[in-house]
Amino acid sequence: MKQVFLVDAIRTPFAKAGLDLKNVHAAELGRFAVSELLARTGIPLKDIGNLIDEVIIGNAGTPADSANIARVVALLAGLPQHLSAYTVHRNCASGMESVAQAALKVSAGVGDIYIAGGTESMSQAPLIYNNKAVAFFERLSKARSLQDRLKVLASTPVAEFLKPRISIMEGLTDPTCGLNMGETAEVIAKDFKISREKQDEFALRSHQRAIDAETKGVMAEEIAPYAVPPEYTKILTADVGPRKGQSLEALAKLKPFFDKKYGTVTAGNACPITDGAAMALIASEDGLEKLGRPKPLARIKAWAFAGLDPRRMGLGPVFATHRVLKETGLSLKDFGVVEINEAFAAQVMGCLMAFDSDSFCKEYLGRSSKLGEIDVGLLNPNGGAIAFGHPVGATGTRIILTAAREMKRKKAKYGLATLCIGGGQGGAVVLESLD
Amino acid sequence: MTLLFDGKAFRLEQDQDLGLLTFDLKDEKINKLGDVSLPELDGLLKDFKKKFPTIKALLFRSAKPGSFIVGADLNLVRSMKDSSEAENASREGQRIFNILEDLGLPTLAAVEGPCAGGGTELILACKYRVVSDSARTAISLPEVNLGFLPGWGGSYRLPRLVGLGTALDMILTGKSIRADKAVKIGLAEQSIPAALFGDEILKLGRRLAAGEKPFKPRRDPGLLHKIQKDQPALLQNFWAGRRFVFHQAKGGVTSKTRGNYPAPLRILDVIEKSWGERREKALDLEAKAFGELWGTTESKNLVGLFFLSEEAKRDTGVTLKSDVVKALPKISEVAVLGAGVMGGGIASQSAAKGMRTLVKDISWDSVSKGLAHAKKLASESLKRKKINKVEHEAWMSRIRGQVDYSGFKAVDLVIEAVVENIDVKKTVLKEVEVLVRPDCIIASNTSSLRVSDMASAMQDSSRLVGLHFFNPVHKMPLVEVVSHDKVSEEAVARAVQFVKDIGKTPVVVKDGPGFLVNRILMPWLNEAGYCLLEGYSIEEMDKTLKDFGMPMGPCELLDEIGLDVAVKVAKILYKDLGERSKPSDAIDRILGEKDNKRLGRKSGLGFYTWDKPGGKRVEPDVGGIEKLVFAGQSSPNAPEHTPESLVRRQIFPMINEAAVILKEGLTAGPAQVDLAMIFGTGFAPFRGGLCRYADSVGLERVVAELERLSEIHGARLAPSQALKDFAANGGKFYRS
Repeated sequence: MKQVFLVDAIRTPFAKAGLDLKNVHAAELGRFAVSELLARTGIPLKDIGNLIDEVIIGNAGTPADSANIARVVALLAGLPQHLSAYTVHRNCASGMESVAQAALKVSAGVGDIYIAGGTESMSQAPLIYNNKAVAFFERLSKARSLQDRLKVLASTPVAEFLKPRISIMEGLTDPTCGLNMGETAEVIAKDFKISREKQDEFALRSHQRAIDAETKGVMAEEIAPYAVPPEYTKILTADVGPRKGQSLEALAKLKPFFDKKYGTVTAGNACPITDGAAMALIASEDGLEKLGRPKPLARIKAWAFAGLDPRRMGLGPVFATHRVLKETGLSLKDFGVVEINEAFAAQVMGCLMAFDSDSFCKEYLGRSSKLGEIDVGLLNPNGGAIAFGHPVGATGTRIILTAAREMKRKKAKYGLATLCIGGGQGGAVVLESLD
Repeated sequence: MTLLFDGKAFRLEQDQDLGLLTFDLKDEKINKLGDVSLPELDGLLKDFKKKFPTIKALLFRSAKPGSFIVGADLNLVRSMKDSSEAENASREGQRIFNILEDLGLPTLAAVEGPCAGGGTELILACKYRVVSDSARTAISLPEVNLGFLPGWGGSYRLPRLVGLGTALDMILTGKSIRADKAVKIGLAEQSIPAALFGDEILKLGRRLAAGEKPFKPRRDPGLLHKIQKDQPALLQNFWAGRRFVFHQAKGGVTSKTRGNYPAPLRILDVIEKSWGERREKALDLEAKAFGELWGTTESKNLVGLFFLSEEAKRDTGVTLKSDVVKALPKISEVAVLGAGVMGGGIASQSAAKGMRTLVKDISWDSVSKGLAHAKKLASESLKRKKINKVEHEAWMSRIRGQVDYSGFKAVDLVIEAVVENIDVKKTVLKEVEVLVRPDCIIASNTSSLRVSDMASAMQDSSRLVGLHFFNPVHKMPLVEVVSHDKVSEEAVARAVQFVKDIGKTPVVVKDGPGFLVNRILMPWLNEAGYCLLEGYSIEEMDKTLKDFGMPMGPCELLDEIGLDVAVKVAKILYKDLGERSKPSDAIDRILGEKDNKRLGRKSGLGFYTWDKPGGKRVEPDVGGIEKLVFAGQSSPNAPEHTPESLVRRQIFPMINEAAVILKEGLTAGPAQVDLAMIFGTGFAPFRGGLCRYADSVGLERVVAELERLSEIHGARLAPSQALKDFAANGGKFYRS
């Protein structure tokens, strides 16, 4: 097996859906991130275009006009037409799946240099006509004469049009268990008896750490400032989400969103729906040679995905991490940096408890004892998705990027990036420092 | 397939009942109608039915890939001796195309690629036309841009085919019609996918030969549609409506040309008089007008300008062999330093033409202004339908903004457009020199500083050139490519090619104060200042010089440039060039006002008031200017003068400067001066440029007038030795 290197990675600033990036198509977000990634190599586009083997991009809410969005991104970024590009979908881990596929191909010797990443515009998730309305439009288009058309028009109550299907809500609902993602977080909160206050405290810490990281210029290392189209008059240099004045009092005022009566999950201790993109350059040893021997961010040592009860999908990181630990022989205390994506405070806290629970690890992982404790000080030190958001297709790449950069700063030997996946899965990637 | 005729221009073949007439001019890449092809066509078409009785339909096509007929051979047009010869040439072409029209067989023209002028008139004489949907297909009658009119029946046949309004639009502007539009306006029966074109036209030809009617008869769109969508089509059918159409067109033409271009009005006259007339009468009117217009100086100058710009397209700007130049690496990635008006404009233009472009400035705020500027230009292009949505998206996706030097290793060319300060420029060039590849060209967009001075700051100045763009970049076609002692020919050649690649016209100039265009403009603007002090009014100066053919008068131009910038440049030039360029202190007086906001258009107030900074011109601020220039006194009365004398006073000093530039060998010849002045300042194209105009006056007369003026107004107006030498040595700048 060949070694796999994370050469470089970059992302757009993230913005809560409906705010700064709402008018930007997911393909344009991806185009921008790819252009920035390639520009940082200092290699002319016409040359690097011929070095890259393939473009693999994760995207969850497929825009109707760009079914294979990876191809659209590649061409918009000016990459050559002969270059193959495909889109991958693993829900919330689409941006990790793309990196995993690139890593797999590199390690198997299929190719030497890949662009892997993810892009998402949750702002532009469309409303969909319901089936009755669709049938109505079909009949209307078939009606030839004015009389026929009037008949069709008269036959359907207009009220039907006012009940469109909201694709973003449907996308965030698991059809096999019938639960919305927030409802799965409620299940975990109840299972592990995680109080509203604890969740709010976790959320507050995410904001504080994010603000701190931004102030110190830490986040600027991974973000490419973005002149926002179509006006280009505003430059986003940082994530839009983190709130300076966030407080427990303010968080406490929010009503539970998913379970109004007994619930604890609010819009404040969950991640907001978000727009953004992240892209990484993945290469083999030979690939590094072709790129002129740049110093990679890290080595990608292992990756794994695992399934679990869809109703408790938030615990996915535990299952996936278990597999990469087994594969690498590492234990949790070997990691100087841990990124667990913050879909919900309850879900991350549930993971921490499950990692550290003998009974859980015995029952669900078939182990004799627990996996161990994760030091909260090492976990998401620069804040997480609760503060700056979770653009579903892009987050997988984002947490790998954030972990790799943090490893450099902390001089950590190993880093773990892991996330939960709607539908009941988890994904995890192990990074190893080259310093 | 039987070969019936194989000549120098045409091939006639027969495929069953179908005749195939293929235009394939020997030893040429393109088809032109001239002294080889026209007589051959004439001979072929004469008694066609008698000679080829089994041919039942004739298909007309071109053998040149992607190109149909580019028009008449302009060398032939240029070499005609006098108006009567031109009129006869018109009648000769009309006669041949009449034979084609009267052939008595169905004729089908199959157009793929450019079809212009005489080529368009040829297809108009065919019964049917089909076009290939190739992006290269473009049908036009551009004669008006050369100062004459379509003289082979185009002015007669086009209005009858597509309607008066559409025809006038095409003939008066010379615009190109693409395939889909050609079908829409009825210029072509059908558009055929390019990939199937060759086969499909044969099928159509065979069907015509078999007596079928493969094309749907034109559908009458109905009265209601005509009223809504196509007023001219309705109007042309009524006498009063027609009068209205012509009246409107005349008004538009007059206000645009200020009476300086005779062709458009004459074209309107011909089409109006020939509307409803029989062919003989209409063609007679056309031929007479052609001869007449051909004889005008305006037309000769416009044709001359056409040849100049064609030569400029071929000119590599260097003495290297053309195959050496061709082998030089092309520029495909550009970095622009400075995202101001110029930097943003250059970046936008480069990206529009397919360059990967990055624009760097010190702050993100500035970068975003540059990007927003590019976006505005892209949107305007989209709105004017010059580009489509996809091209619009691609345009912007090629530009990156940044505030550091990352990625500079990737670029083939860096253009600095930072502030006009020699120390800042030197610092920036020194900084960037070590960051880029050794084969990267480094350019300065300076307008007033010396490229040689910047060269001294660099380790390797052989790759430093000046690339002087004009404002606004997207509109001004000229770029001065500035060479200096240390520059390599390869660097100049690559810069010249880059300028062509982004759709601009390069003129190579040696480094010197103000290069070429600004140096020639300055004596004019200086003289306008002196005139102002003598009491000439703003309005009169501007109107007179506009009537002469300048796109703007001197005061308006000063407002555009910015009064502060103009004074700065004028002082630099005075320092370098001496007495000849001595500025008046008129603008100093205007700028001298305390807390001055009077900087010209950019501040919203200059000689004129503007509706907002950078906005539209409102009216001359006569009172305000008087107050500043004459310290509250009313202005003196200007000396007795005529428009002609005012023009001489302001234009002749420019001729004087051009003579010095040519004598110093700063540019290749008078053609480069003319090209630069027309494309860089809009100098009256119908006068053929500054040198051509000077020649038409006669340099001896210019010398005499300058001598007279210098006695009255001062030594600055004295004719230079250079000008006197040109005057003594043949009296003209151009040798032929």
